[in-house]
Amino acid sequence: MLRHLYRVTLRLHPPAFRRRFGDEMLSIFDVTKGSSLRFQLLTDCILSLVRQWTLRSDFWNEASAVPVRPAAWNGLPSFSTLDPFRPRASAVIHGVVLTATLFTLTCVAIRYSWIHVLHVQIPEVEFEAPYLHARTISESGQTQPPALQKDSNKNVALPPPSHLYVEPIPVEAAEALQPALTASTSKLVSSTLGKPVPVLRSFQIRLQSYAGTYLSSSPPVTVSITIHSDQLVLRVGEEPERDLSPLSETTFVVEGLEGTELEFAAETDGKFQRLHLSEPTRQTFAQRQ
Amino acid sequence: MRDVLDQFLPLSPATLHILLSLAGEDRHGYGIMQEIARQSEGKYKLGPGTLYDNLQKLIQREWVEELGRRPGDEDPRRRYYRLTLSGRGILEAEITRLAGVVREARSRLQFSRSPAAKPRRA
Repeated sequence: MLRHLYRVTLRLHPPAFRRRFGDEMLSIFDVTKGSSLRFQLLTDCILSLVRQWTLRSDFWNEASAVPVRPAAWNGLPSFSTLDPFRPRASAVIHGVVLTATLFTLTCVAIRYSWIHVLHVQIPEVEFEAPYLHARTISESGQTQPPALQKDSNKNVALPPPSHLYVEPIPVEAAEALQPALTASTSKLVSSTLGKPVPVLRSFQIRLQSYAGTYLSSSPPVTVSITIHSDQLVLRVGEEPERDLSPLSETTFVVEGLEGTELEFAAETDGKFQRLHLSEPTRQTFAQRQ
Repeated sequence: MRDVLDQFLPLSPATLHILLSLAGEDRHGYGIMQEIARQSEGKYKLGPGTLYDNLQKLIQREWVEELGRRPGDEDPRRRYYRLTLSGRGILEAEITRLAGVVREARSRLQFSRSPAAKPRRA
């Protein structure tokens, strides 16, 4: 074991030193008897290793006095590089110090510079803490945040429309909540593809950007989006009003009309300028009035 | 020539012992280690790492030359080393310097031990 460690330590020496004296050092190790003496030799070899790599850079590229063994040395695989050049130890140390200094100065300059060219505005996404901690399950098994329980008819309660609120659902609880979501809180609404899409009621979106009157030339119809009790309501011409349920920030499902979706686009100055009403029988493109 | 040698003085203990061990005959590395232990009566032991590190320097300075392996040796991995003329010259210069140090030290010690050197009390 000690001999193996000794050989490995020898193998780590600079190639010129190893080729010239490696065999002899191993020979001395083999002659030495006793574990304590061999352990002393191993310690001496480790010190020699440190010394050769730190203080003897002049000898790293010294021409070997013995033939180079190409494939293996004493049973250990050996490798060689095309370019034997190695920088001086002092040059490496200076490079490390210089790099660390420049990196530190750059970090300080970025942090305390009066030129804020690197300040990037990252869109703010907030998590509603009360939703995370105060989620309750009602007697009917319906899972709702407390703030939403007051308005069970509309099922959506919207805070002041300043941010996009996302309610995370813990992974462990997701499976347990799935029946409740599919039952009532998250209604299953058929999409245009005919597959049920869970409507995530917890998405609370800026409503003012959608509200308004949109005109369509073909077919000639007026599409109005209004807000009733924090709920977006769609009215197409003289047809009855329909509630909108969000699928995403720009896509809504029209409740009561199977396979009908409404998509907003081209938001300018906080208001969407166009909408696309996709029904199974017709497509309506309208422009804000 | 003397000035050239003086720039290497004083020699380190390891260098001095290695040169001294090779002054009598050519030796291999293990023989050098044994000879150093014998000369110092076991008080100064040189490990192989230190020995070959110093031998590397001495060969580069051409104070020691490598003779290679000797056929019929007990261990064919051993290589022998010999003191060169310049190595012998630097060893003689170091011995001369040490002799001067010893002479000076003895004279100082004898002076401090002599009764005349002791300060008189009033």
